[in-house]
Amino acid sequence: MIGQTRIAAAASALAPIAALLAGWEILTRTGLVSTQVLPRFSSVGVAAVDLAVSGTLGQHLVVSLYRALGGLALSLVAGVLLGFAMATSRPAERFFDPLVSLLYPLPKTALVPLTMVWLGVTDKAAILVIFLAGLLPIVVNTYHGVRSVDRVLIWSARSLGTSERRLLRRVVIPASLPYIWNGLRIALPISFIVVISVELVASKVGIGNLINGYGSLGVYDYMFATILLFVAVAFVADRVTVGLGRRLLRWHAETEAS
Amino acid sequence: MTRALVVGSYSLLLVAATWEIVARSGVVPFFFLPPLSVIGWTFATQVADGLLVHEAAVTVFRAVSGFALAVVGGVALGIGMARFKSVRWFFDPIVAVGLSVPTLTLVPAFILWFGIDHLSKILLVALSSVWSVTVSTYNGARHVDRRLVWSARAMGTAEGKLLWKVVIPAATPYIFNGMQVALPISLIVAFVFEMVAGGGGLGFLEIMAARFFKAPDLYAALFAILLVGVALDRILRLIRSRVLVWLRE
Repeated sequence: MIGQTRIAAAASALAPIAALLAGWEILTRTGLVSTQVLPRFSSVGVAAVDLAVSGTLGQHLVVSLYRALGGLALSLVAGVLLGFAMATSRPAERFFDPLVSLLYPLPKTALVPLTMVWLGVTDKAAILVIFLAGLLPIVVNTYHGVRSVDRVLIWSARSLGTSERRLLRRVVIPASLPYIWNGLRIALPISFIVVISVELVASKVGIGNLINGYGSLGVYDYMFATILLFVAVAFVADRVTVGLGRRLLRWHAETEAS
Repeated sequence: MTRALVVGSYSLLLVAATWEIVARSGVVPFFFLPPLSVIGWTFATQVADGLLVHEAAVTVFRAVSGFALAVVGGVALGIGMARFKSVRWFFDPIVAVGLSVPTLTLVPAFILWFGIDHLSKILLVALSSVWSVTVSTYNGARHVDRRLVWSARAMGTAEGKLLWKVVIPAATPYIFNGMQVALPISLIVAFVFEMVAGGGGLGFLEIMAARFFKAPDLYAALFAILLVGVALDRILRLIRSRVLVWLRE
């Protein structure tokens, strides 16, 4: 029963997307939109299959994902540490708070040319920008998470004789996890945006480079196929993060509800 | 007052001083990190001769036009989704996709469709930022107090008037939340598009400086971008507080 309603819901959600794709095919087939401007969806589909089967997609996708997720992993580690430090130590907060507020409104992709000058057209340069772009959302969210820990919880744990280290591990970290996860969820799409930016501007490999290459050669069916495939990957990555967060933090939702 | 300011921002002064000393000592090559004073001088000269001001105006024009389109489109779509089930059914999955995918992948496609001048940039900015405005408008319109709508209807308020007098004002704080998410996205897309496709603007200026290893120009452009980011954010916050106060009255 539940399975059936789920399938019905999925079908109802897919129908508008299918309608758009069908509209695309009809417009290009009837010649209302020239295939010079927009290749047919069917030929884009054929190109997508070819890209996936021939391994071209995989080869570039691995590079893009390595950069995006590598940078994101670094910003997660550094961001959580920095957020914790700022939330628990007054001098650390005093030192880093002006820097964070100064750099927060900077559109981080503006750092792409800078890292290009520092590290050349390399994986390292890409990872550095992605790290910097993902860092601040995680710092800010971790900071708020640690700050939001119920004071009463800490007091009662302390009065029961809990050691500081145990307090951190059993109370503070679990209580701030939902916030950290939220920071990660904000940083993930940012890392995809930045990796595409880097690869469009300065790269010899990667999905952004592949799209740009097909575009400048005028191979538009392959260009659109690459765009669609990467969009699908980014969408699935976002869904997985949300789903995983719900599963891991289920206890949190329950405590909120009760 | 000045003392509090110095204490509050001592880390900035410390970073600036370290930067100047390290750069002057020659430990790092000039084109990696020019002294802050040299960058400041370049920045001041380029502001004075109008170069940075002009390029900033070009970028802001593109980003703000696209942003404005996104706000209009997003509010209309969000309200439509809250009001009509069929609109919600059709756009729900599209918004979910639009919200979580990097629209910058479409830069080459937009160059093909709309050329490399203002139009393609403005439209991609709009397409990238419309989704967060849509979602927050939808949430705002859904949370309008049902009793307000009922009582307005009971008093014979027309649907159009209901929209302008009840639904939109009630959704306004949500709409501003969406706008605050959309604004940095607009800037990111505008800058990157300029880096890829050229046609002037701060992004173009910055990438050209990087290509020709003109480090002070690169950092000056970066500071200009930071200033534009801060200024637009402040302006939006100001408008928000003004509008919200005015609505409450």
